[in-house]
Order: sequence, then C-alpha cells, then structure tokens
Amino acid sequence: MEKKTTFSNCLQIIPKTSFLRPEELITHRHVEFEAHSGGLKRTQNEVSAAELEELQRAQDSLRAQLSVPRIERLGGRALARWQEKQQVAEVIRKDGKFENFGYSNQGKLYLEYYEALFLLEVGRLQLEYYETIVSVEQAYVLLLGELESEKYEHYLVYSALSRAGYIVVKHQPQRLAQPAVTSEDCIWALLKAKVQSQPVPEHIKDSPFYTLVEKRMEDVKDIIVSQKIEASPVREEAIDFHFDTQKRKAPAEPSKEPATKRAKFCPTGQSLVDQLKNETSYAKFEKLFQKFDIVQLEGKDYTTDESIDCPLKITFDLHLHNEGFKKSSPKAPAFNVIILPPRFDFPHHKQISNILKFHTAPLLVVSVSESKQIQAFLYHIS
Amino acid sequence: MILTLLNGTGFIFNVNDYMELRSKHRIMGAPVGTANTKGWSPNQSTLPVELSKFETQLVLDEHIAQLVDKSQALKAPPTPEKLQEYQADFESRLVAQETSLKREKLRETERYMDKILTGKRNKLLKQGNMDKAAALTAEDVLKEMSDNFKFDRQNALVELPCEHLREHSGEKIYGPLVDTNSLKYRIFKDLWKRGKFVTSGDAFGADFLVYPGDPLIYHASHIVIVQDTPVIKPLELVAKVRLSVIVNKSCVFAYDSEDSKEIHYQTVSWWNPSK
Repeated sequence: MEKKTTFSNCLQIIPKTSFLRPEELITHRHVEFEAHSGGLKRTQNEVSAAELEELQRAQDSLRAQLSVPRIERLGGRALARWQEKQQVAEVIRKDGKFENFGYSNQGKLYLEYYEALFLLEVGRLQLEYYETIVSVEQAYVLLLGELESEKYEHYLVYSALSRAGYIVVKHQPQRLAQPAVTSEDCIWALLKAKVQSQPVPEHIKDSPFYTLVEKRMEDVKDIIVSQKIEASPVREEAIDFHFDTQKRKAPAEPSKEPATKRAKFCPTGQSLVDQLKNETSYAKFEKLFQKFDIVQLEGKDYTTDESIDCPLKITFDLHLHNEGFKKSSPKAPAFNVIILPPRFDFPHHKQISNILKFHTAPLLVVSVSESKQIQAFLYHIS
Repeated sequence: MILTLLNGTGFIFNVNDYMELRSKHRIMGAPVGTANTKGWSPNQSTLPVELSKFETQLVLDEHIAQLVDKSQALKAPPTPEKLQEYQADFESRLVAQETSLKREKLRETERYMDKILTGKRNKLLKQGNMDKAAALTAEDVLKEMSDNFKFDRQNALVELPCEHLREHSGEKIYGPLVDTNSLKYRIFKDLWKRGKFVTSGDAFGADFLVYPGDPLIYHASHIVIVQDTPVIKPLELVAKVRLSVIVNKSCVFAYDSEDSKEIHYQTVSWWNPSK
C-alpha cells in the first residue's frame, strides 16, 4: 500500500467481546459442529417466508461454523515463543506428534511461520510473545504481517495440503545421487575423450569397468586397423510390414459381428491400445528398438544453474505419510510444489523442463485465485 | 466496525461483525482461517475472513467500517505494568475455574455412576468387605470425589481467542487501496448498490458473479464481464455466452459510456427457437 496517499491517526480499540467465563469454557470445549447441507440452492429471490426461514437456517449454521472456539487445557498444547527478529517460533514444549513440523538448529527446535500458525489455528500450539499468549489476530499480525505478502498464499496452500493429508515441508534442494557407473558410461566417456578430446571424469576412471572397457576398445581398434575381420554370418531380418496400397473397402460380407466396436476388437475386454500389442509387427519393432541405445540429447535450452532465468521457485516438498518420512533425512519427495504468484503466467515447457532437470518428483503448480480457491496442476513431461 | 489491515487489505476476526457485514451489507469476503474442528476437511475454513481490496475499499467508501493497522501495537513489547496486569488477569481466569471444574468432574462422575459403583463394590468384595460393599451408595462416591478433588493449574482451560481481546490501539488507514476511478471498481460498486451480492467471477473466468441473495442459498444469476470497449470479437462473444448458458446464468457485458460517466450493461441470452 502506498503510504504517500494515506493519512492516518490513532484509534483506541476496546474489544466488544471478552474472554469466555469458566462455565462457558467447559460447555464450549467440545462443540460438535456439523456442516450445513442446505440442499439445492435457489435461482431466484422470491422473498417468501420459506426462503427467509431457509436463509436464517443457513446463516445460523455459518455462524456456528465460524464460532467454534479453540479451548484446551493449559498443559494440553505445545508451547512456542515467537522471535520477531528471526521471524521464527522456538518450541519450548512439544505435545503430540511433532515429527513433521519444524527444524532443528543447535539443539533447538524452530517452527516456520506457516507451521506455527497452522498448529495454532488447529489448537495444538500456544504461541507466546513477550510472555503473553497471542490471539489468532495477533498471530496474523506477527507471523504474516500487515503488508501485501506472498506469505498469505503460501500459508493457505500449506494449510490446504496439510489438511488434505500430505506432509508439507519447506523445499530442500536435492543433491541428485550419482548413479552407479556402468560399463556403458565408461564407453561414452572414452568416446568423448577420443573424439571430442574431453577429459575422462575421475569417478569414471575409478570404476572397475574402466580398465576392462579401455582394453576392449583398444583390442577392437587393433582389429579394425589390422583389417583382420572374421567373417561373421550377417543375418538380415526381414520385416514384413507393407502398407495396403489399395483403397480401403468395407468387408464384402458383413459377418456375424459383435454389437460394439470394442467387443469386436477386444474380445477379452482389454483396451484398444493393448490389442495392437498382439500384432506380429509389434513384436518385431519391439525387438528392433531394444537393440538401439537411446541417448538423451543434451539440449542447449537450459542453463546448468538452477537459480538463473526462472522466476518460479519451488516452495514446498510433499511427502506421503506411509513412506516413513524423516525430517532429518528426507527421501525424494512425492511432489514439488510451486506456488504461482497472482497474475503470473503458467510456466512454459522450457521452464518446466529446466526445473525437472534438477528435480525428479512430479511438479505441482498451485494457484490461489482471487476468491481464495486453491487449484493445483500436475506437470510432467512424458 | 473495525477491519484489521493485513496482507494490504481488510480482515475480520469477530463473528458478529462478519455476519453483520454479510447479511446487512452484502459483503462476502472469504474465510481463510484453518478450522480446528475434527476431520480437517479441506473445504472447511473459518475466521478470519479476508475481504478483497474492492470489498475493503467499498466498505470504507460507504462508511460501514474503519480500516486499522494494528501492527505497531501488537508487535510492541508490553510495558512491565501491562505485563503484570496481563499475568494477574490470566492467573485469575485460571483460578476462577476451580469451582466450575469441580462441578464438571462431579457431573461426569454422576454420568458414569453405575459403572463406578459396580467397580468399587467388586473391589471391596475382593477385599472381603461384604458389609461395606452393600452399604456403598452414590452419595458416598460423590462425597469422596468432592473431598479428594484437587485443582491443578495445568488442567485449567485456556481459550485462544480469535480476535485480540485485550485493549490495544491502531492507526486508521484511509486508503485508497485501489484505483477508485477504475472501470472495474466502479462496476463492482454499481452492482453492489443495486442491492446484489457481488463476488469475484474467477470460478467462471469472468470478472464478477452477481447473486440475487446470499450465496448460501442462491445460485449466481449473472456472469459479468468487464469490457474496456463496447467492441467484442464474435468468437469471444460466442464463448462467453455459451459458458453462461451452460451454467444457467445470464451473460452481462459491462462497459463505460463514451464520456465515462455512465456504465452500460448488455445482457445476452440464448434464444432457442425449437423450444
């Protein structure tokens, strides 16, 4: 917001409501709230008594939904202190499961702003600021701030994905583990050394295959140079694949055919695509393709530095609960989450491939609409 | 009514204020808080309600509420006196629960009296105290429970209030938050002044949705598309109108008059001669 155009002055605020009385605390502690199912909505406002009654019911239900208080025993919540300078919450006392929240630093457990606010709103955390217990309102001021900020959207996404059953953690750039060196890698490295005079990387030289491969290549070179070719029987595999050049005609005699096309082609109920796998030419092509070495082209459309040239950043990693998530040594995440800033274009192919180059998990691009609806789009390049 | 400035717009933390804004002033906002109800349904949100910048601006323009920046007051460390006052108040609220908690404990005991009585009798029988077992009554159990009740501070209930319940201060913000001369804002305000509920139209790829009454029980009746000029490409017209026909709403194009003094609305409906 522009301060220049604003003129402001001070206002004393005395809240209209007060803390609940002891009896109210007890009666309101376990408020069971059932979502209102009002049936079909109306398309016209006819100002009838029935309508007014329906509206009243719906409003009462909404009011009930919005008034569920957060009441817990003093000793029943985790306890954390907000540190304004570092913008983190330091956990003083844990309560309940904490495996999926926070990070440790020098023996202390800290919560990120979204974790602290989430735990506070679901009633699991008592957050203190200068020895006073913060209200939800104060938590919003302290943790998310008065200025327009992406924190608000990040919090909404964090909350929604957490409630949807994922473990949501701050994105950690992953060092891709070097795959074990195979003899093929040695061959390629040697070829590159010979043809493009690139030095052979150390980790390939260390491979047990390296000397073997080098030797074998020398042997082959000798054979080629000395022209001692052992006549090997050359087999040619004919592929009987010919196009029907005639005009396509309907079968002369419509035989007793099953009623549907699907039933005709797939008597066993498989999909039409699977049906093609039974063709003789399929097996032949399959065999042929297996002989090829498929080499990924090293495109020139990406830079080797992750941070350059892409305005989109991965914010969260999603893990699944049944995969034994560990904070200290997280495995590869199930999804990487990018939160699309408002009025931002969706990423194009180049950006996606650039990001996927460094991350193996499928990419979830999440946008928060003006009406605070959250939409997620799953990206993968086949 | 007071709105708290957060995220550069107005937020509401009090349920009465929100219900008044909604039912009296037709301001919808969007609940963005995470509910603490069991089940964690992703659709269930709660207070606070975040108003869009248009809504906040409108509420300021119409003098329905004031927008206040509380950051200074709520971020400042309390003075020693304030802190002492707070702690005394907090402690008194804990201690005040003693009688209520005791009453609740006894009520719970009464609720499960049958089970407790059988359990206690069995225990006495095992110890060979036939007479005592036969003589044990509900009153005895309640008396025992009442005599042995010890108030434990840790068991006192603490409410995490939604709105900040202690007296504090804030700086009034007069805005403007949006360009009040922009066509889109003028259209938003005009539709609202006609007594409709107006919300963002992003769910339908449009600018606004107009409801004949509270969206709790009414479907949107119109999809409003803001046009910078009265000129529209035929394909665009077909696409927008077809969408609105499919979702059973009217398609409204809104644009400025040439002198920018008036807003023109054009409603397009689908005419099907076969019906």
